Amino acid sequence: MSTQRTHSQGVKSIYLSFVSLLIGFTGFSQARWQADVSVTSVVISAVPVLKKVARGTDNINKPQEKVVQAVDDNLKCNITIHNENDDDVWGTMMVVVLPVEVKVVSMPANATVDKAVTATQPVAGHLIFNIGHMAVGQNVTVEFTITKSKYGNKVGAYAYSDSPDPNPANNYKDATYWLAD
Amino acid sequence: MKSHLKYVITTCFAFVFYVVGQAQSLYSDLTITSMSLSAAGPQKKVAAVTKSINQPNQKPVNIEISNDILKCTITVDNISTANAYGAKLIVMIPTEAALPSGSLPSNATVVSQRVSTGWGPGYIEFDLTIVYPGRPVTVEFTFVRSTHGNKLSAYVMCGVPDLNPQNNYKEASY
Repeated sequence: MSTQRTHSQGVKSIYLSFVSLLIGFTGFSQARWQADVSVTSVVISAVPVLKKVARGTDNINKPQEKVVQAVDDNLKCNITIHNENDDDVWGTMMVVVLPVEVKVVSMPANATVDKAVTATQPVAGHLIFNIGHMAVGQNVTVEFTITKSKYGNKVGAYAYSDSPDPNPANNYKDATYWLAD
Repeated sequence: MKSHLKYVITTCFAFVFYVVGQAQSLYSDLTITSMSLSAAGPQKKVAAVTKSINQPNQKPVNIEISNDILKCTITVDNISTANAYGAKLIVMIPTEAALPSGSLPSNATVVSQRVSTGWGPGYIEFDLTIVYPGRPVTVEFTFVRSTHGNKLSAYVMCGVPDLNPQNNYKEASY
């Protein structure tokens, strides 16, 4: 009696294992490789640079003095991208469209200035960041510094990768640095 | 003599205005004006619903274009006065869609680190070279549609600073 029960339990256990294995395989075959890359923040802040500037004087007979003063000539830009969904993302790139007539002061090693910049077209149109692989839930922040533009300081960032993205609408974000009046 | 002098002065003014105008147009404004997806597979016959049950011998058919293959059409325009040099268009392909050989135009490249291992189609990079002001450029390609949703997104960029990067993005679904 006891042997029969043990045998029946064994068969049941094998049967359950087989069913769960089958479900596992079916689930695996239905899994789709997708990763949702998004630009979560674009922050632009002024970088004070020490410069010699003319100081105003009430006495016109006195020559104008020059003093060293912190001037916000450059802008620092921090952009964070994030990978959500259930898969790693591969070959992640990010294009950052720069404001009009600015020069890149500093950028990380994984960034390249657009190759269309030449002697006749000396200002950069955009930077491209090679982010590469990102794990699920990972954030990557890049930082670069540019000169300030006279024509408005809007920076737009678009992230893309070779992993299919179910929600591409969140791949773009921009921010504007407003000059003080 | 006097009229000749007037002509020279007018020409000089025109030249100065032209040079100033050129100097100020150091930015472009690329935009994706339209992006659409449409069925582009082979034609197939589909049984049409008969209107009258009193005509059983009639078996009407409709000719339909199969949506197993989709055509994506994207139009990029430059709404500034400066040429957009080094223009590139990035198009992201949905999961499990496929790009058969010959489905892309010659200025397109598929970029994917893992496409050879069967993991996804990657993205397409179109080299648009120069987009002249007011002269829209249209690209077209076909792909085998995904069975898990067909949303495509595109972003255009160029080497010349862009006044409004927001209108560089567009998406379309089928």
